Amino acid sequence: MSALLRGLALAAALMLPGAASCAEPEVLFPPETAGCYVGAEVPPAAGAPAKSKPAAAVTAVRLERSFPQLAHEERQARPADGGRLINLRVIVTFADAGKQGALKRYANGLYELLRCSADLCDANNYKVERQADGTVLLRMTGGLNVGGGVGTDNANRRLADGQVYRLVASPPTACR
Amino acid sequence: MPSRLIEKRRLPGVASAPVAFVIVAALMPPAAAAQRLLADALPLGHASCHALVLSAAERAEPQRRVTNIAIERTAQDVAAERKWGAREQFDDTPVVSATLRVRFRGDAVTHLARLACIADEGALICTTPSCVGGELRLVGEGVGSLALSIGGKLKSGRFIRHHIHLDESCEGRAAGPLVLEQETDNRAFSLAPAPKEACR
Repeated sequence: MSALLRGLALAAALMLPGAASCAEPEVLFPPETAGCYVGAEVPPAAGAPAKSKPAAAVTAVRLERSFPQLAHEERQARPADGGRLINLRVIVTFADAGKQGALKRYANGLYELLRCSADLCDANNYKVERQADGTVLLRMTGGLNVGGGVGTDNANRRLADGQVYRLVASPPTACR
Repeated sequence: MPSRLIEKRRLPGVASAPVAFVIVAALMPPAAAAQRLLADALPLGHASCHALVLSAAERAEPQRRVTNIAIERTAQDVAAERKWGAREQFDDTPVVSATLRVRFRGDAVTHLARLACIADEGALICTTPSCVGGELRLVGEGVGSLALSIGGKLKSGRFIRHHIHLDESCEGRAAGPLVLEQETDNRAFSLAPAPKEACR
C-alpha cells in the first residue's frame, strides 16, 4: 500500500466515529440540553367517547427541562439495559389561574423519571411522543396529578387519562 | 406511719419521672430539627435576615442588574416551619419558610417572592408556591452566611440557567414574567446575616 493510500485509510478510520456520531439521529430530550415545549390540549375527534374533564379548562401545558431536571438526571444511575432516564417538569395553567385565590400554576413532582427511546419517553402514567413535524404529543395513559401551594394551602388537579396535548419546541423563556 | 409518709412522698416522685421525661422531650428539638440543614444560618425557632453582600467594585459593574437581595424569616415563617415540622416528612415537605426581596437597578419597586424550601442533598431548594417551576438553591457559605444560586453547572461544567418568579408574575403580567436569574455563570449571590431592617 502506498504512503498516500495508508494516509487515506488512516484518515478514514479517524473520521468514521465522528461521522457516525453526526449521523446519529437526534433524540427526544437529549442529555445536558435545556428545553421547553409549550402547547394546549388536542380537541377530541368528533364522535370520540367523552372523557372526564378537569373542573377548570387547561389553557397551557409546558414541558420544561432546565437545571433542576438536568441535574436530577445526572444523579441517576444509567439503567442496566442501556435505556435512558430523563426528568422533566410538567407545568399546567388552568383557565381560573390567579382568580379568587386559585394557584397560578400547577406542576408534577420534582423527582419523576421517564424512560426514553429516541422518539418516546414514558412515565407509565403519561407519554411524550415526538412527531415528524417537530412537535411532541403529551398523552395521558393513566392520568397525571399536578399540584401547587404548600402546607394546608396546597391544591391538586388531575389531567385525566386519555387527554392529549400537542406542544411546540419554544425558547426557554416560554417556560418561565 | 413514717414509712407510709415516705411511701407517699416517694410516689409522686416515681410518677413524676416519666412526666419530667415527657416535658424534657417536648422541650428538646426533635432529632430531625436539630440536624436541620443550614441551621446555623436559618435557626429553627428564630427569625432571621440575610442580605446581599456586594463590594464597591461589584456595585459599580455596569452589567449588574440586581442591586439588593434579602431573605427574611419572620415570626410568621417560624410558626409555619413549626407547623410543617409537625407533619410527617416526605420528599417535598418544606422545612423553611421565607420571603425573598429583590431590588433591580433603576427600579424603585422591591419585588418579592414567598419561598417554601425543601432539603435536598446538602442544599435548600426553594420554590414559590403559586408559581411552581422556578427554583433557587441555598447552601451554607461561611458561618451563618448563604450562597444563593439559580441554575448551576452540570458534571460537564456546562452552566444551565434557571429562574425564580417574583411578584407571582408567572401568569397575567402584561410584560411577561418577572424573574430573578443568576447574573454570572460562576458566581452565586452571597448573603450575610443582617439586622432585620435590612430585610424591609
